Amino acid sequence: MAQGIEMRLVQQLFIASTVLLLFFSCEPLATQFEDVGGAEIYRAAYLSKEPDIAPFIKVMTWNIRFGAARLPWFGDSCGDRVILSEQEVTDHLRALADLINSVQPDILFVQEIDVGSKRTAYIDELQWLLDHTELNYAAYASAWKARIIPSDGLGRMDMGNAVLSRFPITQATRLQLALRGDQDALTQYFYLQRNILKTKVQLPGDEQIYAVNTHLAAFSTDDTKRIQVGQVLDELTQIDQYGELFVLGADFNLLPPGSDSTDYCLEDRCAGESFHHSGDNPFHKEGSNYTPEITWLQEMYNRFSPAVALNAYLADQPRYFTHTTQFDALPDRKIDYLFTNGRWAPGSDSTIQSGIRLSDHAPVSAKLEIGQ
Amino acid sequence: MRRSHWIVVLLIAGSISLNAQDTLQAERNWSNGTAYVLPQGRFEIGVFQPLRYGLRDNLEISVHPLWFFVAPNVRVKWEHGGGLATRHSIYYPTPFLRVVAKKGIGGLISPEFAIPHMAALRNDVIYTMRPFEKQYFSLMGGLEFAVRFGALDKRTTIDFPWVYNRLAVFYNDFGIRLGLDWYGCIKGNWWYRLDGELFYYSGSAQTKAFEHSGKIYWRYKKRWEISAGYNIIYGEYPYGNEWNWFLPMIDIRYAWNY
Repeated sequence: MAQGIEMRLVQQLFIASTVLLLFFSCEPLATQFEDVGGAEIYRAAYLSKEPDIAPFIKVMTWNIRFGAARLPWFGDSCGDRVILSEQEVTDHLRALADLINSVQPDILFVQEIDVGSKRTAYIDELQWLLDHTELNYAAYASAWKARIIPSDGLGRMDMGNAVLSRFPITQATRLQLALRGDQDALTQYFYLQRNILKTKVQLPGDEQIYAVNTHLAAFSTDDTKRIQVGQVLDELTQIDQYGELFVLGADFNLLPPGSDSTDYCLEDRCAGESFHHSGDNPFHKEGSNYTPEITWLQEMYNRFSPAVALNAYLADQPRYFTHTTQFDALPDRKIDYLFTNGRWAPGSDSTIQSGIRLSDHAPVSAKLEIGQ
Repeated sequence: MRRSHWIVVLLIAGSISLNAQDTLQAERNWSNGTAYVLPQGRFEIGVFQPLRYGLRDNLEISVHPLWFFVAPNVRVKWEHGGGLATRHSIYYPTPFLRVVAKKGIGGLISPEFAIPHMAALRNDVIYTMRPFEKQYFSLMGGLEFAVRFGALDKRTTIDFPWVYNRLAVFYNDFGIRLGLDWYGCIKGNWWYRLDGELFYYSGSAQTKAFEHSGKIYWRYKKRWEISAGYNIIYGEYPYGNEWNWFLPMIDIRYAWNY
């Protein structure tokens, strides 16, 4: 009798637990994002004193190449490195923090920051930078999140955009950008999902500013970037129409209109690669031919104010170059930008090309007038 | 009690014992987490399970046939009687790890690292008791060691549940495994199995893990078996600790006598 009751109990428990478990499903291998979602909020372990009210704030944008500095990483510089050591990453982060501390931005836009990726020893680089600079708060929106990327030994990945600020961040939203249209479904599933990170920063004296960060497609060969620029423009225009102030930090992966050189296939080619010859397939290197895209930023320049004015850039292009794909070369193109619907302090912009030794991008900074 | 009564009692007792032996023999037809081995001459194979063969009535040998060519492996289960068995296995994962240490799609390990020749040896003791009719409770304890013929960079780990635990021995000094298993009949051809296993690896990449699974089996004519269930895995990984669910876990086994 007792044996029968125990048996029934075992059976019922087993069936109940099985039914319960049916409501759970496996976590997906790669995270697929909603069109609009929340962003993660960070805070420094120890808060630095907020600066006093000033007539301007200093902003800076920098694609930090996930703390790989100039190592010959396989994915973007003809290299063969994939997984960095913890020592390498912390050495690079320390150098990044030193440069950030020397510039002393009030708001910093960072692209390609890892917060838990195998390739960077699972270091939360955003928390690390917060704890080693005078920036107090941050918001993070992932652009590439997967439990495992089954390619090249990449493994677990979490990389994205971040806004770091000395002042509190009161709102943070992740807005999905269009996915690349030139990939098969399987590749796209594991591939980057670019975003706009829109944050609201509480400045001293009750003033607020939208700090917006984005990083557009790097290797698309169709009109993905044009669509993404349109999405960014729509978002900024909406903020502007509400009468709010914004500042945008961006790695657009696009050249300013009117740039002298628009095709970098030969500069970017790796050993054994050939482009521009009949029979070469592809004829252009992915992500290196900007010729068909050269006007896609024109509307951005028409509507909003760049930290580096277009005429200033066109007059002395090399001075404003921010990027190179070769791990031992100087910047040879400009793809990193600051825009606002407010006013830049005249002559305050700086393209810090010495920063190229710490990433494949140089940071751009400028002072934005507030209390206009 | 008269002599005739004793004879009747002895006959009934003998019959029960014989029936129990027959039942047990029938229940041995499928390999599970018990100390029992397959009957001599019986093969079984599953989609996700190894090929097993009853070499003798107290000795079972098994290999993962698909894995065998990239990660040679063999396991022997030796039943000692009294519900006690020992299990001894060896596997050599180097070819598999070298295959997945590649550029491009399918690369689970960065090709910048060399994978040395290495093998793992594992020895388990299993004790099974039968508290109720057609219900089996088993305890398992095991020790695992690895030999490496060269340096193995810690960045070569495959940080994914199930896989990480099973390769952890190569990054540590030794591993201990402790398991519980409850296996029994629900009714007729319907069976169930619940098990839990603790992993502990000691060394420079010390790690712990726990795996639990629950399955229901349906058997058809002693030849076919379909199972469905779930797996729950807790692990300590280089990126932190994590629980994972795997559902549904479906498998088919086929068995035959030779």
